[in-house]
Amino acid sequence: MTQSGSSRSTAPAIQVPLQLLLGIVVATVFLLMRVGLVWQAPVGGEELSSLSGAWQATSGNHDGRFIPTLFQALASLLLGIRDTEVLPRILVFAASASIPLAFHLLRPTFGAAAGLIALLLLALDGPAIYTGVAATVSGFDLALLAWAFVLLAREDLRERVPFWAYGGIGFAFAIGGALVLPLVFALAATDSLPAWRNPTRAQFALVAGAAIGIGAASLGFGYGWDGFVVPPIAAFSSTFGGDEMGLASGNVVIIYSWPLLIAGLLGAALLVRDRDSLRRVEWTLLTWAAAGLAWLIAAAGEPTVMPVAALSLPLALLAAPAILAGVESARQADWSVARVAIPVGALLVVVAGAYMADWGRMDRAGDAADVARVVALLSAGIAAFAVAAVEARSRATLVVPALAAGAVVLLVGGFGVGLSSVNEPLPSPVSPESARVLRALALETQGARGGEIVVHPQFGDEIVWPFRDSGDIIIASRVPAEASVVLWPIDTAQPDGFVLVEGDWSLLDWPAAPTADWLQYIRWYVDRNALSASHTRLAVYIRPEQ
Amino acid sequence: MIGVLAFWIGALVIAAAALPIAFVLLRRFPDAGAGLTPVLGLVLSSYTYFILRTLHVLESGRGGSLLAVSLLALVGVVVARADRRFTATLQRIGPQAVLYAGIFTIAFFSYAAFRSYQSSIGGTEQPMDLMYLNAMLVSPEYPPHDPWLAGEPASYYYFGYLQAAMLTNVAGVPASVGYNLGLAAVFASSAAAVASVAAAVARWIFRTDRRRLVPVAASAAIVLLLFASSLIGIFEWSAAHETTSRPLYEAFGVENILPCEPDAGSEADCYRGGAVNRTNSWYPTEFWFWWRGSRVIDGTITEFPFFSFLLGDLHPHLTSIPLVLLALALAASTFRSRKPRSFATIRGQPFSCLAIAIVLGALAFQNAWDVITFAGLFVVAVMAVNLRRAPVTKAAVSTIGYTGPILLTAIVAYLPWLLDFHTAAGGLYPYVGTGTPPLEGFLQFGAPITASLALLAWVARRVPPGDWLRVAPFALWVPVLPLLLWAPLAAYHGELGNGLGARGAGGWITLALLGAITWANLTAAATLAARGRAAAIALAFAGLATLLLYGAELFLVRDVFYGSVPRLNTVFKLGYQAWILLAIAGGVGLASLLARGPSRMVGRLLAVPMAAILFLALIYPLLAVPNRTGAFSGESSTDGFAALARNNPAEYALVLWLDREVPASAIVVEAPSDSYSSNGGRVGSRTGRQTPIGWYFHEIQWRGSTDANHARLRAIQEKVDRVYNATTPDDLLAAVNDLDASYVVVGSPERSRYPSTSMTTMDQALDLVFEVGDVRVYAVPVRAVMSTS
Repeated sequence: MTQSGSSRSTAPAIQVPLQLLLGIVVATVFLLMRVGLVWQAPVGGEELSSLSGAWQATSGNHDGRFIPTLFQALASLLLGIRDTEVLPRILVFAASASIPLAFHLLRPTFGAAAGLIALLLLALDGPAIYTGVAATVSGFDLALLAWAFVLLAREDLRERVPFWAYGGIGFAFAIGGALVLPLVFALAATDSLPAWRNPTRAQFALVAGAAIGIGAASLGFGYGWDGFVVPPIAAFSSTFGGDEMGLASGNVVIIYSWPLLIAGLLGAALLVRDRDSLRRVEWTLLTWAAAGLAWLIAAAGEPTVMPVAALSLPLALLAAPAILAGVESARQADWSVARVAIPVGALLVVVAGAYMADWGRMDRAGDAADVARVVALLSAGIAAFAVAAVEARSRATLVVPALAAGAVVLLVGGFGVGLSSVNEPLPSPVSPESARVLRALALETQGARGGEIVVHPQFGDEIVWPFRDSGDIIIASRVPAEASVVLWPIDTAQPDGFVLVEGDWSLLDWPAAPTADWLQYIRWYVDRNALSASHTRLAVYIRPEQ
Repeated sequence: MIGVLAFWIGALVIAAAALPIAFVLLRRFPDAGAGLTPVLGLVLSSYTYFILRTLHVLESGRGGSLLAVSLLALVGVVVARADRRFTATLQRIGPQAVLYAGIFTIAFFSYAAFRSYQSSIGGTEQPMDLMYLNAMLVSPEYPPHDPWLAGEPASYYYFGYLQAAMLTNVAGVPASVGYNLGLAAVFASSAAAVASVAAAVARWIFRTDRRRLVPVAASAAIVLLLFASSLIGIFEWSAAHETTSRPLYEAFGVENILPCEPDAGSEADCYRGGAVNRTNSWYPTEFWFWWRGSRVIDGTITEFPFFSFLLGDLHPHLTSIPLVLLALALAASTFRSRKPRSFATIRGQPFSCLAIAIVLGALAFQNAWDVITFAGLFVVAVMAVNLRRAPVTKAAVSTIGYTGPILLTAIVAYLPWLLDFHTAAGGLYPYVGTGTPPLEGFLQFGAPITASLALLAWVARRVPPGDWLRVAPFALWVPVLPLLLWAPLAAYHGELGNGLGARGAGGWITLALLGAITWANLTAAATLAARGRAAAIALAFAGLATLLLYGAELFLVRDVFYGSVPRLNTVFKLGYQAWILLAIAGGVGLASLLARGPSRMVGRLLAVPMAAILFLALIYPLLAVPNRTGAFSGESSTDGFAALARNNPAEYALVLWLDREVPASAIVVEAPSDSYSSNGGRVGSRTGRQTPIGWYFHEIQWRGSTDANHARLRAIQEKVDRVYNATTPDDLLAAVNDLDASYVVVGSPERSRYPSTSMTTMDQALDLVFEVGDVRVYAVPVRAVMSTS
């Protein structure tokens, strides 16, 4: 049939490739999971520490929390323009917003579907969400890592990059945060640089760029010489022995990232199984993940989210092909038994979960009969899954419940962080609104009565952020004569000549991690706002009017 | 428990990271150096940490240590990629690597378990060791500060503490745990390393019997190094059970173990505790009876490795054992090399040579006494290998061309430490006192020397007498030359007559015996070295060992003890080196007793007395271990502060508070103290925070007993006195500011030394920031203006 012979005239169809559509959807999810945090999230955790350091640099004060990464320097600059966390966060968000594009460019290396799954995993990973928006010293790191990996994976793109541009890459890495170190280790260990075009000149440019970066950082980007410093190393070191976070990285994994970790490790195992046919980029990816994992293991008890965030990118890239392979296996598996066994098993586990959720709400396990019921239900559920797994042909069907369980954890954690739920353990501690109210009260009193605001040294670090732009504050262990407002430890005697305004004011809130016991962990799933929080408390005294 | 596992895993990870480097450095070893990787990895990563901290690249704390280990791993990966034989080597030595990891593991957990029954860090010089360990961990600047002399860098050979700190940081355990586990790591590294070296030498020597004899040699070397002891154990046991023979005890110079005679004066050196206190069990239960084992030869310290591990001081001579074994392995590997060494070797393998330089330089950094002996042995090994392929002059030039730059690099590599290090050595002096009676010498070194003689006996049947005789006259100069040097040196000091007479007949006999054994060993070594035979290595080790003992009979290194016990440290340190050397030679020697061939009958004949002596040498550990651990009763913990927490909660709380609240750079005032006091200098020791002055005598030892140093330290003590004796707040503040201090501690040591300290004055002048029990900490009042705009 010719067109002219057609009795009907058809309108041209608008064809949107499914791949593109899905890509847009996942990228949108990625952005939506982060954009709200820019304005909504409380300042807390390592962001609080970083912003305090940046503010101190702006104010001309020396503070160990100022680590001269490029982002920290820009954050100081932005805080000088406006004393809000929003501007630095917008900067981080803008950098992170480029990650979907970087993943788009990775399609030829990993395949479109795997790229999308990897991006989706990254979109939902709580630690990646936090570090992708929060104004921490490592604010640019995730974006930098994603783009560096694109360059590594895409030889055709690499060919187009002039050798001198590697100077910029060296510069960017040298003034990056701690998250870049595992990739640097992987690049060096897998000898990836010689594979690049003009290796000698590119390497020279890299080293020169890095040297310039280190020089600039050592000069504090103009904030003053503070000794020789390599920012990624300084940032890495600060993740040990610090007290900026109320949550150990091991707990962060338990709460948010264990499905990603398991999937990533499975993906790594699959790659290692085929090690004879691995490409250099895959070796680099494996080494990157291994270095990150080593960091996580060493820092499992350290209060920091960074090791987990450092793993999110390589784990997502490793997990995606494994998930894809798992789904494909499940699709081709024999479902004749599993189509009954798996729903039954899931149902039994869910019913057992309902009991346990109830225990979690009550914060105690049920009586012996309840325990017996739960054990029986769980046993029966596991048995049902086992029935599905007896036959090798149907074993892959278990991928479905495993993915479902992992998705629940990722979604719950991702939305908890992305929506800044009240009492969410990430970030912890947070600077509460009451700290800003305290500042207003202090300034108002000082304005009305003159004198000075005096803060006990115990709170010298904590007041930096909430008391930003409050003029001069006296940090003193003894109340000076000129004091009009005194912020003092609650367990010390009332200063002579002052009246108590508030004996228990919270300067910092520390949401607890729901990892003390398994009931607490379940309870957290049932009631996201059930977690208790401790507080950094102080007493507020003012000098009475004469 | 988790801390112990983390420490063990950390040590093994570091060892694994060094495996590719060991393959390159020790390729000639049958295990490619796998048994030496725990020490090689630790030395290289600790050096990396030290130098990068000094250059301000790394930061303090765990992060810096982990990055140093990561760098080592990175270098390991790069070396492995560049080494075409890496995979093949790994496949070849894989089972051996697992075996050495197993030896390390068993030794580590065994020692940790033993130590957990007496984990308290106190007594002898353990507070000093803890002080240095803490200094390595917390010092904000590198080279690290001296917590017992605020404002000054440490002036000691502290690399062993740095290595313990490295493992402590990697494992993330507190210093009080790291101290004890550091000892366990040294024990385990020593076991793996000595087994590796002895196995290598045995495998090279016993080509046909290697499957049977290599494990025997390795096991025997472990036993000789880590368990064999002075033969005093049998005397202690029989004295405790009151079955003694005074003439026998007197013959061996151990009459001090016997109960005092009724007419003995108060100065008499004898046992006064009464029979009832000696034992109520099969082993002596007398408190620390085993201490006497470290004082067998009068006027000296006669420590041996087992004693050191039993005592548990984390001292340089102890921590350096694995490093010394690594240096010996390098020398042995060099000797077995097929190619001569010259400057061209450095150009061809610059990174290997750099690693060798780091290892040889570390000998000085870890235990300064070791550097001359073992770096010298390395040079001799290079010369020996060059001599096999070139005439003397050319070989010497090549040797200088190779070792010169390496030794120079070693000096440059450790310059940051060397610039701060003040050696206590005041020169080489002739020893003109009483010589060591032969039976006392036998009591101390009988087991390892006898074991090493077995190898000599085995070799004797395999070398034609003519060959021996050609070399013997030259080798004779080795023991004769020191004697020829001693005489004029003694005459120069006006002590020749005295020296000749005071030595006594026994002293001369010992000297002659040691000289003869040295001569025999070195003759055999040189004869076999010329043929490139591996037995030369073990014989050279044995010859060097007896030469060291011989040298310690003739000379001494003058130090702070010169006026009282002049050769105390010389005999101690050189005897310790000799023990390590003899353990390897002895291990191989004991294996030779089982060898097939022409000496089989000789071996069988020798086996009986050797076994008897070895049995006697193992009685001491058998008795001492239950004594030290209370027969493994009581609470066990790897935390060195567990007893402190139990017995003195206030002082324990003080430690925790200082660790948590006081910046590492702050100066904390505490009472000065006498050396060897468990509680003295406890702030510096237990927290690494700088204090104005700690153990006075030790600071003098480290910095030199000069008038200027005495005056300086006394002035600091007086300043501290002013703090605690101040009667007005202004005086107190002035005194504290004079010391640049931020905190003042008032606890039992302060109240005892300064009973008149006015708490009212303290309260008025300073802020009370800590108070638990009778322990208080005061802080200098803070007042600072912080701009927030």
